[in-house]
Amino acid sequence: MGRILAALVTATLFCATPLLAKDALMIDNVQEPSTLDPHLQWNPDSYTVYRNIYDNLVTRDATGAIAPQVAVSWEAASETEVDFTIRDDISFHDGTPLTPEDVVFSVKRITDPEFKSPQLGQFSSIIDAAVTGPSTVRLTTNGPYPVLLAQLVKLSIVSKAYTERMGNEALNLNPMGSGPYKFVEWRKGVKVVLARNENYWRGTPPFATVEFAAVPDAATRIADLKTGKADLIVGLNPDDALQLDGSSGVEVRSAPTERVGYFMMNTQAGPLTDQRVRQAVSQAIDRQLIIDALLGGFSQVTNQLLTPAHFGYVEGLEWHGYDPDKARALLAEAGHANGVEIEIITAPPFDQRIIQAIQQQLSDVGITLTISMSDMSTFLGRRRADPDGFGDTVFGRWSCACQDADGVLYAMFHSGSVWSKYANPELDKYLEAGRSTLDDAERMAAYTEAHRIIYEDVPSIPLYQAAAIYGANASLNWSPTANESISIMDMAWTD
Amino acid sequence: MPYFLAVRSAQALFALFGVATLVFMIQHLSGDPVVLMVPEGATAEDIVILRREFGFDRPLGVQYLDYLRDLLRGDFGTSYIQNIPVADIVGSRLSYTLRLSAAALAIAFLVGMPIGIFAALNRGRLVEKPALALVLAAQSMPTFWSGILLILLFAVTLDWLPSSGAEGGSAIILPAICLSGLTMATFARITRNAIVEELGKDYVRAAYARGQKRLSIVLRHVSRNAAVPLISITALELANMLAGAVIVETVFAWPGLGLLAVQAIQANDFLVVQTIVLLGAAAYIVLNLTADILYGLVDPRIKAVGR
Repeated sequence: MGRILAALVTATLFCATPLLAKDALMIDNVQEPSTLDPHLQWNPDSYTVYRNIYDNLVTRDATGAIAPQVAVSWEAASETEVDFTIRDDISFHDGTPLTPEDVVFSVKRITDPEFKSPQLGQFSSIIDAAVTGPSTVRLTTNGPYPVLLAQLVKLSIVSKAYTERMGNEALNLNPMGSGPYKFVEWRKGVKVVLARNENYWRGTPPFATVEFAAVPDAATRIADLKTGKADLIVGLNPDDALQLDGSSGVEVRSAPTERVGYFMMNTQAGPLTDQRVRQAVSQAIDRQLIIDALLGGFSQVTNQLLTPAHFGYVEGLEWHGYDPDKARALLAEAGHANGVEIEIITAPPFDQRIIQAIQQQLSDVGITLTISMSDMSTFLGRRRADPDGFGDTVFGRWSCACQDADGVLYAMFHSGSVWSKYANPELDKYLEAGRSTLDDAERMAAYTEAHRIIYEDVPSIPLYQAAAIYGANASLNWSPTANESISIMDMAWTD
Repeated sequence: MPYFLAVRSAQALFALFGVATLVFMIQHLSGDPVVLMVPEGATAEDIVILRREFGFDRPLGVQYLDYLRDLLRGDFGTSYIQNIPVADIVGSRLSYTLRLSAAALAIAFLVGMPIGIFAALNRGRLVEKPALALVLAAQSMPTFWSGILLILLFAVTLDWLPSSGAEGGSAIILPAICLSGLTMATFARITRNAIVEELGKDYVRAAYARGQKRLSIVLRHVSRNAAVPLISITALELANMLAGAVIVETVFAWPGLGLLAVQAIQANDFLVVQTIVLLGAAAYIVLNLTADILYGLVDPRIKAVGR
């Protein structure tokens, strides 16, 4: 018996070492894709898969700058019109060429209200798309729209003929694009299998096949990585990352994302209408401590509600430092020497440890934070409610998936936005200026002013730039990016 | 018996109707599904457009009647998120849940019953202790923990079985063992108690007096009488498993209804959640009805009451 056991253990040790360069890449996502129709869902479990099947109109390069993909170049014809020149050497997986008609069809499909895409709002500024020549397309917006290119990074180009012939349901179940990988099979709930597109226009994709599995439990994803069942796993938290330390053949990879942790305050009702109280809240929160203690040091403090990955990020800004004495003094000055009670609305998806840490830090200066937890739907109802129904504060991680100040600051602070609990005509003016000119320098100037007002008036506290943490087979050559895409074209085995 | 069946079936149908109504109401009470679908920062206009396209702006009563009519036709609707019929989505996962439930139930029976019989026959003796300890452990270990332990031992350390997924015949073994734990313990306890109770009855003494061996008494007479409580427990346990072994399926990434339910809740895919809840309720109701009928077959005294 002992000998058998010893033999088994020996065999196990050999099996457990990750296999050498193989032709298949296995990726563990958290959930299976909601859909593989690229015009319906933009959640990471879906787009990490379908963005390898499709090409997008434009993309972002390794530095995060917007770069050509299906469009070779683009030029503004007027304040509201942009002309795109489309590559003529791209073919769909069925062999048909990708034409300007397909680009126009894709734009019109996602902007058609009857199509009911949840992404509609990201593209609804586009009011027309037209073929203007053998390889040119013109997009028309309902006003000068500087975020257009940033939004088009997310626009996958589908085949007009295939989609019309097969219908929307078939496109979801049998997606067909022009990207580096062809769709092979979607075993519902188990995995999606993709195969190399040998004729891909950007070169030969690195692996013969790629499989995306749905593994919801992080501990199981880690087991998959350790046993070599998976080569890349997503969605780890700092505690999970610790479990990978010291395991041979696997390593943690992380990257700062465009998600901003923030603590927003209701400036239009309740005790936080007083700027001094808001500043006291800010100076009572030790952001670095939260990052070190709860986020494993993976995230970084940010002094504005943007990250370096956003357009509109201004280098070198300051924020009110952690200073509990100053916070107490400000509270006393505002007439709250004996303490003040405020409420935070929240729902299960938000990291409750951070909220409890903030609760503790606020109580140290005499602010009692009551946590009102509800289901997501009720929470969103209050989140979007009038200032009187909102509560006093909310914690979240904002992502516009567009890496542009307009997607964050306008929605968060403009007096006309349902998410805003702040009304300041001066800030409104700069936010409007930022979205109504195509001139980058003018936009930067507007956002610099917007940051200044937010710093002075403290309608919201920037906490940290969130990190995305992955586990990878050590021989997989790949670095994560700020937009959390998993571009297989950029991967390879190291030998 | 036909009258008994008719009454119980009518009750079952009424219960199903109640569940359907409750599910609809809870879904609509908790707010606006569209708000959960749109990205952060969506404008009020975007939300209004989508709400109209999905028909959520119609009066609640109209939506309810539409929903009931579709249900009667067997139409569970089309998923807002995935854009394919809900029946297809749920149907594709049903076989995984059935297989896992069947495997877990088989393990629970094959391990739980013998342990129960063994414990009953050795009641109070030292040899009973390890059996009871095993039962206690299986009963009290939370599956999210025992599941990870099984994976660490059999997949990561020993590399005998796959760590997750549903590929190959061996993938079902770990989740089935994990899922069977609680049911196995329940079977063992119920079997033990039922046999202990039966052993004290007159017919057992009479059988001893006729000179029958103890094992043959237990297997031929006692086990049949002890089976009655087991039937109802089996029905409940099976219904539990069919409604989706949420935690076990999540830990092992087993693509059954439980995992689908979690995925659908996280994606705010209401119609899918609603259908799984309905299916779970239907499983409970049908299996309870089946148990009632089986009682009658096993124990004629119960049938007499039903008439």
